[in-house]
Amino acid sequence: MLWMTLGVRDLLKNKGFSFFFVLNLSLGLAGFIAIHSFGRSLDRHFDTNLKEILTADLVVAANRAIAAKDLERINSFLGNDYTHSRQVSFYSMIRTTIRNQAHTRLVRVMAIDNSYPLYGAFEMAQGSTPTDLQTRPYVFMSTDTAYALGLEPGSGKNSTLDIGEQAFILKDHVVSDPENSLTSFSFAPRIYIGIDQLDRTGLIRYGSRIWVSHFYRLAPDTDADQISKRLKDRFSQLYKDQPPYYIYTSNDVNRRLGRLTRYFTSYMGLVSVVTLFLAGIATAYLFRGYLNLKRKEMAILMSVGGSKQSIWFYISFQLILLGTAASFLATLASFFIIPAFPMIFKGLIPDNVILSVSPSALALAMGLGMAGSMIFCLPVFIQIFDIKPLMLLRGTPDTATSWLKQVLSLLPGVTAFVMISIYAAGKLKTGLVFVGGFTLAIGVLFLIGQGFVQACKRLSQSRTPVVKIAFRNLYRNQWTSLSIFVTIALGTFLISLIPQVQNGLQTEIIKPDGLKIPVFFLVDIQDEQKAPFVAFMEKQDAIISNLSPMVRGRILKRNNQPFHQRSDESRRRRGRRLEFNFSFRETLDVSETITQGDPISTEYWDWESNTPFDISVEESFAKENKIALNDILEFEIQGIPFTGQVKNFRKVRWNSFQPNFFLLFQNGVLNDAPKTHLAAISQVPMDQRQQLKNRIVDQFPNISVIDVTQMANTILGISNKLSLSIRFMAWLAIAAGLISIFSIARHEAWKNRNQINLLKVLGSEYPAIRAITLIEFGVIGFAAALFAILLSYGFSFGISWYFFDNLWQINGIISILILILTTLICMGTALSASRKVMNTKPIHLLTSGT
Amino acid sequence: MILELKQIQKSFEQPRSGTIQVLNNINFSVDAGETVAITGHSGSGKTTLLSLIAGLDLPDTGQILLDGENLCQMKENQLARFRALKIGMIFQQFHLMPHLTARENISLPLEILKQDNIRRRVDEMLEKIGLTDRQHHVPAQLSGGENQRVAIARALIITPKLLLADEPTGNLDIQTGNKIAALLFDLVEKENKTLIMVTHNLVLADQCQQVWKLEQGSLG
Repeated sequence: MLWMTLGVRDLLKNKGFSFFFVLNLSLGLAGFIAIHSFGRSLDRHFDTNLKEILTADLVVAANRAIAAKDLERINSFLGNDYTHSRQVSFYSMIRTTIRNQAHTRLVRVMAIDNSYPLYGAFEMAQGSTPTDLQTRPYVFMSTDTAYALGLEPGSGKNSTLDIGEQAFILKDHVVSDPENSLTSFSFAPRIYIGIDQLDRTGLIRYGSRIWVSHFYRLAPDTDADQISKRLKDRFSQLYKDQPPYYIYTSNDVNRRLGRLTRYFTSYMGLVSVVTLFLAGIATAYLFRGYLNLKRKEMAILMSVGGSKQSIWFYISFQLILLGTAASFLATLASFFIIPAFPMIFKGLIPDNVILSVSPSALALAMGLGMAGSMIFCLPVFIQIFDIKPLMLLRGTPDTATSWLKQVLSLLPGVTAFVMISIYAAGKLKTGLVFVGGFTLAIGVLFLIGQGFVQACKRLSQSRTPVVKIAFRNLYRNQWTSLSIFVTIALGTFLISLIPQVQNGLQTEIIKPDGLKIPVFFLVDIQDEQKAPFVAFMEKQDAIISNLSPMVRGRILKRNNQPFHQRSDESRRRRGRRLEFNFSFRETLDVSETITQGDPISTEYWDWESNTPFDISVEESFAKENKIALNDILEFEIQGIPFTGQVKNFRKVRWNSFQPNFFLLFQNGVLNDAPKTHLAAISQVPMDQRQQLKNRIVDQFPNISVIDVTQMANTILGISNKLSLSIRFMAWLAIAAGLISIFSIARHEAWKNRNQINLLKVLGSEYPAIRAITLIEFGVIGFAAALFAILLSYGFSFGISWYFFDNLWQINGIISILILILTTLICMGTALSASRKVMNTKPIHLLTSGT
Repeated sequence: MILELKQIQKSFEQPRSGTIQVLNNINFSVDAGETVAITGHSGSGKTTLLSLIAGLDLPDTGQILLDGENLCQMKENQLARFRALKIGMIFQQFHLMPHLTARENISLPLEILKQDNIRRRVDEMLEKIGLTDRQHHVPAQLSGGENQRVAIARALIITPKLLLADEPTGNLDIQTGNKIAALLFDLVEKENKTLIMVTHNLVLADQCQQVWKLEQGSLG
């Protein structure tokens, strides 16, 4: 009890230390909670978005009816608490006769049941529901499709269309459908019928090309990915690596969204680790200073009978008390601050995101606050065991703590840091890379710091007294200078790291510069229609871009091994896919960049030659199918075999919404093959979109005009939210870091007060003292920040290369801002401390040794 | 005999100048109730000798027997407990706990040793040193002399067998120093304590029953 009372009394006496210790730690912890909770809330938000896009938690699909036994097997994996919905889709020509004029058109028929969709909803012009489709032969379609077919909703003549053998009536217009093209890109407009009406069409027979999807909505908190994995494994076993089913969750929902959210999760992990680490540095630094001040008091306590264990308990109690106070403060603050984020940072964080405090982050922060301060401060803490009351007589410090002890004392902190990094990053490998990188950074900064101290020695030769004193102080107190340098540099390094990564990431997430987001995506332009279509479009108020040929074919072999029979994980995951779309183009689109290899030859490929033609492969496709540069691929297109060689890998920015392909061939290979064309149309004024669409449909009835506005809006909406969140988190990390640097600078300036006082006693005037202080702290702050920022460029490049597919861009303005702010904070806090000392009487110097 | 030092040798390793022999074959004994002054030039080994007697450091060779027990054979924790019970220390720099009041500083050793009647014993001690009216002031609010009085009281409150003082008036002006010395000798006499004092002050040293001069590590 005595030691506890002493501990509390001591903390109350040292209000400044207690305040800054609690403030620093609570800021770090609050930052950790906020960033983690923010990230988790966004994850949830995006997950819900993705589920709505997928309309379910889990989908099992096949190009045939799923066997009853297999459905039972699926059900056995799902438990009892789930809802189910079924959908069958297929392409079909439909026929209408309006005003004695026959219209035929390719559509994608979506036969749905009452439960569809399990997430999201139809928005209908007249409020109809899927139930309406089951009892009678009704059909839903968009206004555009109805226009193209000349249909009007209702029960009149102009409302009837034939699908196979059954006449259907247009019941209602779909304003917005849940299946908004992200999961299954349609080459034709979608129309919806009831699944109970499907048999009447007579279109579903043996050999029909259909797509059957079973949707499952699982109980909350069910791990859909885990179920998906188990199902895939089960079917792989049953069907000997050739499962006939596609199984996917919201995480697989879309190539581009999946990648963006993966980037975001890694980035969030990086930022939360950085924030916590920053708080840890500042806390340990403050504690080091505190413990140095306390050495004498501990020696006094030992001299009057206090055992080392009692004193260890006394300091531990103080640390735990401060850590607990910081945890409570951080928890309390996060409960108020996080829900207020949307209001406080309006415009900086995405709308419609419900932010809540993450319980796991709270628990971790509480644990960290209570035990973490002990762990972070352990390297300083073990010095207690080397304090001897002998110092009271000799007046000199005790023997230094052995290297072995110091290294051992770092182990719990490093272990905790590794564990937190792995937790925050969500992956063992990612966490270890973070920790390894930071450790390396500390080593490099230490070496640079030593160089800095040596430079100060040279500069101390200056003839200007003020400069001489300032640099001599830095050089003579070299260990202090080195520790300040490394601490400030490490803080700045961490702060600077985030915006560099953020910049590249944000550039990837937002739409590519100068790219026009298309309004319409055109499919099925026949080869002979190409010229008339281009001529037609030249007369319209719109821009046609990327008119790309498309040829379907099969990949037979890769390096003489059958391409579709390989049993690796990626094939199992995707199921068997035999046909792919190939294309060729003279120059790459702005949405494409070669990441490895050389550009493919522009020469016309000679059919007679034995040399394989050049192929450009999209990098994720290459990765998924384990295709390497210079691999030989064999194809079959329209029954003719071809052989090509992989010349390069290409990164495609899929959110450009341009016609892009996994494989591009050398000019001359596909030129004479039967092909269709794809195109994008952009820059169509809102009020002219419908008219242009109608004109295209009237002129080229076979061309499918897909309105991609909704899809673009969905993806760009999510991209913008991610982009905003990334920027917001970067600023949060910068703010937390600058506060840590302020604490460190303040502490150092305060430690300097005796020297300032002495200079004052010796007759120095305030301007000279001010100049010495400003030079000392300005130089150390500037040099530390400068080298840290330069180092952060290298590290952020490495991180971007490793985690974010080489998305790296220097953010010069932020770097300059951080450099200036760090220098100013160091100078400002030092100046304020020196002014405070100037206002105290020199007698304080004489009496402060009590 | 309360204290006996036998053939004490003590040296220090210096990084540049090698081994420095600080104490060389020191032998002496002190009887209970005796007052001893150790004088000598700066660097003669006075403080080292005092730290060995206090059990704060160990000799290279030799024995230190305090109240019949050999300090050199005790383990660190044992030594800390023994020191707390039997040795009171007074420092030149006072070394008071800055955040504790005069009263709390005096009661601290009793609280650490979990002793009884703390309030009464502290009241008596405050009365003896004449600081009853200043008992609730922290060291920063007290004068140098008052701080040293608190330090003396803290050393005596545990009723130690041996009182060690390192330049007890070294940080005070002559007048205050004399007052503190008078108080110290008065209390030592009244409480029948053994006092060993390290000092440069020959006037102060002369007030002790024995004066030993330490020269080049040997007692003269």
